[in-house]
Amino acid sequence: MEFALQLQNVSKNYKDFSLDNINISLPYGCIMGFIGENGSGKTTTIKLILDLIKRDSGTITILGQDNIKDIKKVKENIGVVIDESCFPEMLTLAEVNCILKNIYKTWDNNKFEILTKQFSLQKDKKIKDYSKGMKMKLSIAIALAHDTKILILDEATSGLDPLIRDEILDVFRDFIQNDRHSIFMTSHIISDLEKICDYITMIHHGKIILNQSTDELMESYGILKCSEADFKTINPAIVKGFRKNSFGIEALVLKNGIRGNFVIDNASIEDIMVYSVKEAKL
Amino acid sequence: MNIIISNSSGQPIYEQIITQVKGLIISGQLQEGDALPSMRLLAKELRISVITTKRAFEELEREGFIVSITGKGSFVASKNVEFIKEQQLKEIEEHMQVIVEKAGNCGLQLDELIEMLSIIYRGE
Amino acid sequence: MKALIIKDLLNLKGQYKIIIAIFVFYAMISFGSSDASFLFGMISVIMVLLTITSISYDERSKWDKYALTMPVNRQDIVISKYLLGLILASVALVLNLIFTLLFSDLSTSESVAVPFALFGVSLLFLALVLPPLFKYGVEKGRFIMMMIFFVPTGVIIIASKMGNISIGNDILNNLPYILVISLIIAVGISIKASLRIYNNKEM
Repeated sequence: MEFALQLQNVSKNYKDFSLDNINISLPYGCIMGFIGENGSGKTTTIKLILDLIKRDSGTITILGQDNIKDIKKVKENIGVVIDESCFPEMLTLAEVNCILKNIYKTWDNNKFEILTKQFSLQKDKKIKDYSKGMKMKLSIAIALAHDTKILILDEATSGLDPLIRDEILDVFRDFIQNDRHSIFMTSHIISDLEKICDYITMIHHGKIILNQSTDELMESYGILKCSEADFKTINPAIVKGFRKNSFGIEALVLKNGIRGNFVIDNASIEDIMVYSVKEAKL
Repeated sequence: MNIIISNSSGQPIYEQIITQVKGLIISGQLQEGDALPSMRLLAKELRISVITTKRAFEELEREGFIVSITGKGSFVASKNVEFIKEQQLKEIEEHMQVIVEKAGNCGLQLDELIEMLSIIYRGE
Repeated sequence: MKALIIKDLLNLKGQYKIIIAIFVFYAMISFGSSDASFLFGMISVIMVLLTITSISYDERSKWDKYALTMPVNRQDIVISKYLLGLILASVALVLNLIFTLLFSDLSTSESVAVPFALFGVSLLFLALVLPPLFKYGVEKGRFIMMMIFFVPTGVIIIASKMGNISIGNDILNNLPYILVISLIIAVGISIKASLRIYNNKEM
């Protein structure tokens, strides 16, 4: 099967941190959310995908092409939003457009106009006078205004208010109407990912610890609430993490492993993430 | 065509879609040959994952309710609608059998029975 | 690459007004005095600083990281800075030539030689300063920049105080050619070094 984005056995070693054997496969036409706590290796992974840093081993292909050998050609089809990176501050929108016309062969003036108008970005304002939200919207507009087939987004909605985020998620949903378009996105706003992602991949201490479709995750996991005594009777293999308070235990469990009448709440992706990395002790 | 899903009912979303589409087909709101919205459009409008809608469509196709043609979309299939309707009628008959027996046990007359049915049917 | 140079030239537009103002101001002063030579030097220095300023603007908006996600490769970024420096130094050259030929009382050969010499020095300075800037960035590279500026200046000042140093006539006669060839070699080495540094840089 072909993948829009594929990482195979990718590793990167630093002095005090390493990415260990990362495998990620994003099918065409899908949206994958990439989550992990700060320092887990999310940004390192994105940098490896974009060839901003060199990998120590493994292969990475974007839209079927190797991410180093054929990179300039593939970049025509990649739209990227990186938190905090943008055009130099003294430029205006019109100047940015002029520059991009000369960078992308497939630059689409019209699309850019439509998007910047939709995002209410003013033409004559210098980028240094843009708010964080506006800079982000500009990056998103740029990412979509050429022959983009895959969006790679690193915290593309952080710092934006819920209304703008909702608008932007709709823009992403529109993008994905073409079933050869795909999105790979990281975000701390897990509720956004829950709304829009088909797959969730989670990284922790440089290793992938979770990689399933959003539906499967939300269907199979639940939050079990019971007494400590009852908890000890549960098969540990189905418990993915737990929290203890003075009145009982809350545990993330695989729902179908629970027999009997227990209180089991639905688990959100955020719950799954938090419980998966909490290392609590009884 | 209306599809209403609930995030808080225990039922998985793909099942809800299957149930509702089946309902639309059986009740005749969707006729044989009618085009269903594309999986992606449905996912976008309902704000759910494409995988969910895909799963629902695949299940519906497996059960014979719809057919999917690559490049064209999904359409309501012909034969099964009749079959399912017959199934449902049979089930209603069986329920009615039980009702009649129970009515007999407590001496309920036919016209009283019909009145009870009318009240329930009208939703009062 | 064209896009990158356009981006730098447009981004520096805020600086142009200041430069013109300085130029006019000092032009007026030098009309009054007889020796206006520092004016030419200043224009060249400003142009070199503009190149460095453009790198600093890029750093401020983390542009390099972003640009590399577009159809732009590392080589483009490096070469565009050298070309930018060349373009700006050429502008200084033209301005200086206009000034010396039209407004100063230098002989014609001096009027041509001085601007070209300054042009050469600007390029040499850029050749020395760009590789460290690519490696360390503008903030950390500031110290190195100052060393590159002051050490040769200091050496020349000390040398001039040490009395007569004789340079053979052969060398003096061929000096322009020697200097030009050395400059080209220096720039060549600089570009190679910058490319090597930047290609291995982790963003």
